[in-house]
Amino acid sequence: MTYWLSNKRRLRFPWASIGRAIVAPVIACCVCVGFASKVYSLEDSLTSSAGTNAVLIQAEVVHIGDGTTLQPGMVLVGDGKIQAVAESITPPADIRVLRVAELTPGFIDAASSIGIAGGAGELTSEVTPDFVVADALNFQDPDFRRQVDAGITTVHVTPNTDNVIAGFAGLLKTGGATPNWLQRETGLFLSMCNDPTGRNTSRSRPETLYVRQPTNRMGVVWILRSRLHSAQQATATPTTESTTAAAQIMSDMVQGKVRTYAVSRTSYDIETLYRIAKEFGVRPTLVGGDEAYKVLDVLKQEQAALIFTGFSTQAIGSEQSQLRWNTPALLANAKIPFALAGDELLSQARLAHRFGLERETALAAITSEPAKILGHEGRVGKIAAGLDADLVAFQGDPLQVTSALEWVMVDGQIYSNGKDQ
Amino acid sequence: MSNRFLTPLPPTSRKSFTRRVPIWLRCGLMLLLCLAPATTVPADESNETAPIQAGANDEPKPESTVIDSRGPAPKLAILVGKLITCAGPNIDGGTILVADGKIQAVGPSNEIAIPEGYEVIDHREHFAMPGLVEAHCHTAGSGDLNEMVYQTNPELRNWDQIIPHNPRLQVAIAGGVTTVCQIPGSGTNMGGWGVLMKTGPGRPEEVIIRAPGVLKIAQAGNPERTGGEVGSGRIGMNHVIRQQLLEGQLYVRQWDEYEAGHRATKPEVDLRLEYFKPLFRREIPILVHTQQFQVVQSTLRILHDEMNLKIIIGHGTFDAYFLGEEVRKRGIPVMAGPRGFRYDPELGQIRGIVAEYDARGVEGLGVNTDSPVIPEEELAFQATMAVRFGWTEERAIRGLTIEPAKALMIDHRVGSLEVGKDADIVILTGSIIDPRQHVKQVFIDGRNVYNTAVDRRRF
Repeated sequence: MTYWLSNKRRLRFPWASIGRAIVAPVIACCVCVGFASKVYSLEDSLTSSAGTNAVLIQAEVVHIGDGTTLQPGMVLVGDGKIQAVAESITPPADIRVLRVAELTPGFIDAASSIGIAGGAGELTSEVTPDFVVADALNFQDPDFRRQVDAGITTVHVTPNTDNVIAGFAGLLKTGGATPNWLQRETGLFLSMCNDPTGRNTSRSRPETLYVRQPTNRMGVVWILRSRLHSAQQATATPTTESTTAAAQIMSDMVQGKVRTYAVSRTSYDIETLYRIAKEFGVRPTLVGGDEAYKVLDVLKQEQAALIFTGFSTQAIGSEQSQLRWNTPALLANAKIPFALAGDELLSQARLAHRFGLERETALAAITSEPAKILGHEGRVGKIAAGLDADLVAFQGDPLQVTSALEWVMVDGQIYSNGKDQ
Repeated sequence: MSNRFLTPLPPTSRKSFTRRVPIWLRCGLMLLLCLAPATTVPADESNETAPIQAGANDEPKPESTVIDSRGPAPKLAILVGKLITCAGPNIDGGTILVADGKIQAVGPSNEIAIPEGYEVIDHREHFAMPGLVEAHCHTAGSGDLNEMVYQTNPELRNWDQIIPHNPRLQVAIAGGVTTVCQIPGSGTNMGGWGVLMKTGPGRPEEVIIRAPGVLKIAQAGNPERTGGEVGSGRIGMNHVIRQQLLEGQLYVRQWDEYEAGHRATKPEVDLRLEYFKPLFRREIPILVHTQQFQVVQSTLRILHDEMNLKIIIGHGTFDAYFLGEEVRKRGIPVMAGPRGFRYDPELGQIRGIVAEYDARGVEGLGVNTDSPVIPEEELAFQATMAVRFGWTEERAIRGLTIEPAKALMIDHRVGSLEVGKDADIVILTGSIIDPRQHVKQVFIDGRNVYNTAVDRRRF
């Protein structure tokens, strides 16, 4: 048994080490054998006029990520950045040229839970604004690599929804340097949903001292309102006494100095979220949105942006929200900015397209839209000069279920099903 | 005017869809429905009003039915065979003019001319009455009824969890219910603040009549604590309720004094106690979960006599009606139920709760379903049973409409068909007290929300 286990484990390692150790032409041969139907050339020059690790990618279709395409298109990468994008680029001398069928930006999961070690929420309190997910990230977690292989190059790792005011999420790359932060603390996560009641329910009366408010949504609403009210009062009449970090964060929040994200799934929770937001003058980004299709006019009126995680075959948790497959299409029709999030991004985009979401909009919902919603469109989310070289190469139409990912690039570094270069 | 409630109007000759349309055409229509292409735009909620089983239940679709929309409210002239206004004698052959969601005119048809531009809706074979008002409902929102940690919860409100026009309310409408008092449960002594709302479609802000609508207090028979806290019995629970009300009273008094200029410093806003302001200013009532003689006695003693608050006796069941005289003296309304009867061991007889209060002269009398304890659409059956046990039919109809509206302090909006009030109108085949009759059409705020001629009959 031990033998088999160790043997299996060893199977994971050679890809990476061989990739680093063996010279490029050998790999080129392997790749040519593997994808015999493709014209695929790798050359071993590591520097050129386009910078270190320069590479020119020639694609039949370049999906820019913002809804537009180049057909055909070329992308010049160097120094981990996209140097140029055009229909045709004259290859600099000695540059490595890669030919692929279709190219998209790396995918961005705006609501991820990967890599968190030791619990993504505090068990003993409902209000933990000064907690930071980044403190619990295990960068050695193999899930990061699995994300890369699935084309997800950036993840917004969020606290879980057990707490009403849960703490700060972090935004980082799944590949490249370790850790590869875009922003260690992006914004404060709130839960305007049933989840924080989950651990506090009891059959009838609270049976132990460890059952706390909230035991239902009325309590969730109260905790949110009371803490926001206190923060407003503390901001209006600051005391000279030393303020705790948590109080300072809450004060910053009601003054709009920190970004706020709030998880709501049912239509009435979404409405409640915006009712509370209006009462206290905060502008949260909505996360969840299972029943967003019921309140499209509310989202429109609130100029909401939505990190949509309701693209699932089953309702989440005890809420049993009513899900619809065409919610992404309806959001797009209503011109509500949204990202598809919560892992399996490529599958989500493919299904969203299957259920009526226009092709390039579906790709934008996992690339440029999450980048914009998270405020990092200057770094990631599109294939444009100056942005990070985070790319996904496909052997065919990315939205076809049968189209394989050929390789994934993070900051100019290629990950190819284990054969990293 | 003669009261012929229990005499239904004679059936009119009408041909059903199934008799008029040949079988081959019906089969073809069904096939067309089945083959309708799947679309990426969802079957929107309004699809539920589509004639799913055309011809199965009712007559064909009339030409001029107003289907609900949130556009401008239509101008309607509704002609009815019998008009029960709950604000005066019944009228044979009446007209209701509706504009901007309000009742513009109501009276005998020969006294009301129909102005230009009004859509005429012909219900001359039917009765019209005000929409029913439910004083005790738990089905207008999610299941978040009881927040169980603290024994009193004045910081909690329930209008963040309402789900307007949810499937249960859609059926309630088919029972004629157009307004409900949605309240927290009785798991704690003070469950939180309830909301008064219409049962029709719309955003929460559109359907809410008043928020906070009522305070929910439960005095006994549910909120007893078993975990070692104060409030294991009635003495303790009354202590807990009193302490919480005193805290609220002090808070409101400070604000009242400040606002009247008798206090220099502005009190600090305490979000937890804010909703006590309308309560202690007697602008909203307490819906009290109280039943049995002793419990109702303490309701009168503490909440009314001592705290000087507006209250509604929210159950008043078991032997509490022996306090009817005391209730009458104080002018306190009783919205009785859901259990409407009691076995009197001395008489060896079943007594009707409502009739017993009525016999003792209690004025503001009504019934409730405590839905889902009794389904919301069966509110009228509660009144029917009260009549079965000795209440009068005329008072029972008021007990479904204007009396709960008065008790809830929203009778300026709903509860009767009077000029200026909300056009919440129920059209039915006869008296609502007669369980053989059924609701034909319902208007809320002047908009059609249910029409058996178009929808399936839901109840």
